Amino acid sequence: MEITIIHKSEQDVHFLVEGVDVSFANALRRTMLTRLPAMAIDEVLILENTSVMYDEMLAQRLGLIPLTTDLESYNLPQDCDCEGKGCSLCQCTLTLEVEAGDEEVVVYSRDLSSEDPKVNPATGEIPLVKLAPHQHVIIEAYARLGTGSENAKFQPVATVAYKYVPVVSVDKKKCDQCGACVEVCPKQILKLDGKTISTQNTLDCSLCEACMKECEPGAISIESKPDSFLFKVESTGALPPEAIVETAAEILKDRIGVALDFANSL
Amino acid sequence: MEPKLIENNRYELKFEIGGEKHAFPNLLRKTLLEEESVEFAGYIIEHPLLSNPVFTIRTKRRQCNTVLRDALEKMLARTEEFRKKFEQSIADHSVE
Ligand SMILES: [Zn+2]
Repeated sequence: MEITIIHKSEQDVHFLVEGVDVSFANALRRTMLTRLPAMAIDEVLILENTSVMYDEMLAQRLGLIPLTTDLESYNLPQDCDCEGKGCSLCQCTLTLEVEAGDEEVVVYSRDLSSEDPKVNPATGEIPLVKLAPHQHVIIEAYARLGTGSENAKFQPVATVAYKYVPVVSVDKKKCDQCGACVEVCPKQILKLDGKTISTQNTLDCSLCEACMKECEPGAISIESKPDSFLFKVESTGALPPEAIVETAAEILKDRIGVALDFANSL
Repeated sequence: MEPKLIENNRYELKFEIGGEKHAFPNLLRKTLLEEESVEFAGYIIEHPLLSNPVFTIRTKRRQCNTVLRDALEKMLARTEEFRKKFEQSIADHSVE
């Protein structure tokens, strides 16, 4: 098994895994998507809402705000000593209090103030509701850990996807150097130097096969490697992207561990 | 993940995996089929929303439970290898 990091930033990580099969890649992807816990607002107490937006809609919008998550200091409610009633070990309170003056005001996610500095909206730029002059909202919201299998708002990942590694090859005997494939390729994979077509940045290839349709039959072939996968993991901001992959691998290991205990008991 | 035994003869094993969908049973199936003594490995989810996957293994020569244990150990080792190598590549990447 070989892993190469292609690109890493604060929000996302692209990496290449070689020497695993589809079922492993998929198990890993599904674990990141549905098993990895993240914080989200789950209960909302609306003390005052004179805006035109219904309480339910406002609560829905609050629930979908990605919150930075600290997996060390919080428990999943079902694993907590309080048995899911809600305590400081499994719940975090955020408050929102905004009143418009003589001008209209847009309430943003940055207006939420959290009791725990580690649990905060991942970005402050999310508009929640627009207030007309003198309207106001006073809200208390309770965030907790949850998993994507329960509700998609708990997913720490925006995108987690893999694709096969493209292998683009040009048959020099069949190619008539017309250059049409260079024009049609949306990712600029193919280029024409002098009289030969060559390939560049083949990892960017989206396997659209537009070049194959444009070309002489059989001159360009696009295949994929059977055991290599290009992963793209994009975080919502809840967790750093590399932590998402590492924690997901741990969770997958825990699940296999439970199954192994069962196999040993037979 | 709550496995529950349904049937266990020497060469045929049937168990239900509570709280799982396709990802885990599929990984287990693929890993089991790498082993030569496995004659059949598969699972069924009777209803996509209401039922848990029921996994069946049929083997020849080797006993089912040992084959299952070996496959799970293989899966565990691979996942651990992935985690270690990923951590290492991330560390190397940040240095660059
Ligand atoms: Zn609690």
